[in-house]
Amino acid sequence: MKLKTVLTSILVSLMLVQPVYAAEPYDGYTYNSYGEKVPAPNSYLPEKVVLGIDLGVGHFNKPMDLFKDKNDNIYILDTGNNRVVIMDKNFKLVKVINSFVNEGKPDVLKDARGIFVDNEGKIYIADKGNARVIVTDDSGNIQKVYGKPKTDLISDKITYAPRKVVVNTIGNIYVLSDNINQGMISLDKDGNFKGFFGREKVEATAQVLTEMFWRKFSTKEQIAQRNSFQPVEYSNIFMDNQDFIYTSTSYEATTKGQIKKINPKGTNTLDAKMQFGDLKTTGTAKTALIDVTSDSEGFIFALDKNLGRVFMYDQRSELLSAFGKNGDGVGTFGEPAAIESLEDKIMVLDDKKNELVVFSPTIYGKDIRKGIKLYEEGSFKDALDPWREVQKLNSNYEIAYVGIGRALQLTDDYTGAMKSFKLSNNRTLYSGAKLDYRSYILRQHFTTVVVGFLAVVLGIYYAIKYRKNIKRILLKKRKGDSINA
Amino acid sequence: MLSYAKMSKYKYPFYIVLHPNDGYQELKYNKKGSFRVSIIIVLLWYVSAVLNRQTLDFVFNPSRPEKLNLFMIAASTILIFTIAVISNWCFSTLMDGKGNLKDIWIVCSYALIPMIVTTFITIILSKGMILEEEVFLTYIKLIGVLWSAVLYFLSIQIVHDFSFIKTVNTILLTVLGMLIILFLFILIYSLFQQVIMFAGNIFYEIIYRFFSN
Repeated sequence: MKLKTVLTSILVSLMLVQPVYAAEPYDGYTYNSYGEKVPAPNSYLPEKVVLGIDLGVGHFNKPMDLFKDKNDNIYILDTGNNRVVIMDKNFKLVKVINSFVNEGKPDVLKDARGIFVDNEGKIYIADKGNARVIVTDDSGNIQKVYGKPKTDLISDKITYAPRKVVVNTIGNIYVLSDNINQGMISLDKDGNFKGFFGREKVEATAQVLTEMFWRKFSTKEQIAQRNSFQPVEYSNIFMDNQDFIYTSTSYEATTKGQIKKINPKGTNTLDAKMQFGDLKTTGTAKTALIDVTSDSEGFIFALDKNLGRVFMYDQRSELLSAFGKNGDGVGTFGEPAAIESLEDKIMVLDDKKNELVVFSPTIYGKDIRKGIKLYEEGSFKDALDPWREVQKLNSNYEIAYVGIGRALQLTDDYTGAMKSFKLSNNRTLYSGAKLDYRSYILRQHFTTVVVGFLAVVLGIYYAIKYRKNIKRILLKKRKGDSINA
Repeated sequence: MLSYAKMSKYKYPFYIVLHPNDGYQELKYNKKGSFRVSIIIVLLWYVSAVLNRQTLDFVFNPSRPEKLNLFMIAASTILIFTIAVISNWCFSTLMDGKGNLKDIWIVCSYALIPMIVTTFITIILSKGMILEEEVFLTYIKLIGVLWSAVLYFLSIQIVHDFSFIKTVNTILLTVLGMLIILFLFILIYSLFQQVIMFAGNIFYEIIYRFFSN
């Protein structure tokens, strides 16, 4: 009886002294080379949440787009309030553009969806409800209006609804519009139509092929009633400082190349066969990437609307980490709408909770960034330390083992490199390290190897040559034995 | 020439590998085959398959060592071999083959030797090879498989005293028979599963009805 009371009191006290720690709102993870989800420490954690009232401008109302200009000023397109809120990089209010003036007359936005600021500070707004793209200065004076482009390629029946707009360094404008699935509309400075840019192809999925099969046997009336398969529209576009355009696709059935990096020639420089986002999801929600961004160091961040994930990629399309989720807690999303980077931080705009969530990298995330940056510069040896730190925190991280292996290979630690590449499950790199190791062994033991080889060859040669003699000798001996016996 | 009358039963399989025609003839008419040796060979085949999966060098080995399933490998070696022998026996008996079940088992197992030996050779060679040299390993393996195939063909032909065409037919029928046997296996397995489930259900039903309150 006494023992029992002692035990219960111990148990109760154990329950009371549960460790107290700041709970992280979500669990980070990555995928390994077998496509399995592997838990990982969080690379990014929410640092702060910015609300409209914190800035003293009243609550945001369904803000739809976010932009950071070259001076690190942050622009929030507050769609529901038809205004633009400008902050500096410390999230202090700089300016609010509440009203616009167009040739002396007041003008208002209507369901505006996209914002872009060029290097001269001109603000481009994709004003979807008014079917136009406007260019304004930061006090709301509209300098230019681009309406529906005049071309035969866009029929009059199509409702022009520009959602997103980006502008390159020489002033070409790329517009993403609803109802137009030939890619982006490319306009010159004066608004003349130049063509479509970066168009998507229809994927030959099983569904499309069966549809094509049935169409062969259908009448025109029947075909008209069937769903038509059209190229997937881009959900968002982003232009980096070298005029590369990143695109994202939110169509859930697309299983590869959901993120593209299109160079000025129109070709995708990322891995088009790669599956971005979640590889396998439990439940019905699949990845739907609604925005993509890239920071100054080349890291790519994509935002998934359905599960509220942020996926971090490097320029080789390798998934570095995934974090974030939809939920009610602080640092989770109601419905994420846009993503943008700020130095090494990440900002996500939430159009349901009407807030801006700022994420900053953890020690783990910083080491990954450092490691990848040094690795991509080619300074593999310097990358060893950050990768070692990453590996300490996450021993299941294959990318870290690649980094460690490369560094060890350069410092002539071939067995260490082989071990590391094995852990990273990379057979090509392992084979390379093995080749180095093999030639190293051959060099070290050159005489032994050559002498041994010759001895084996000569041994076999003479064994074959004198086989019969040996046999004869043996037989004679045996006969002799039997005679003696 | 060494007379094979004096050759030990452990050395004899290697003689067959190098002189299949003479070897199999001799095996048939002088009863040189050993059941014990044939069991050892089949077990060695199993061991070579396991080692090939587990210890082939990482460069050439796509399998995950921690996900080893010994029963699956046994099913794909020992079980398949047994089924092939039984199936061959079924059809060759119908086609007036001279070999009995034990003979077929023994000659077929001797035909496995080149495959086993080349598997061990590739495992050892793979330790010193890199990705670009994979083609050598592939060729060595291919030689082993082809050699075994030739031996298998000759063994069937000689043990049953068949003509060439008849041997080809028998082998094709053997493959068909293997499929049928596998199908029956799966059928019986699933049927038994249902019977066991049915018995279990009745058991629990009785427990719930009469022994619970």
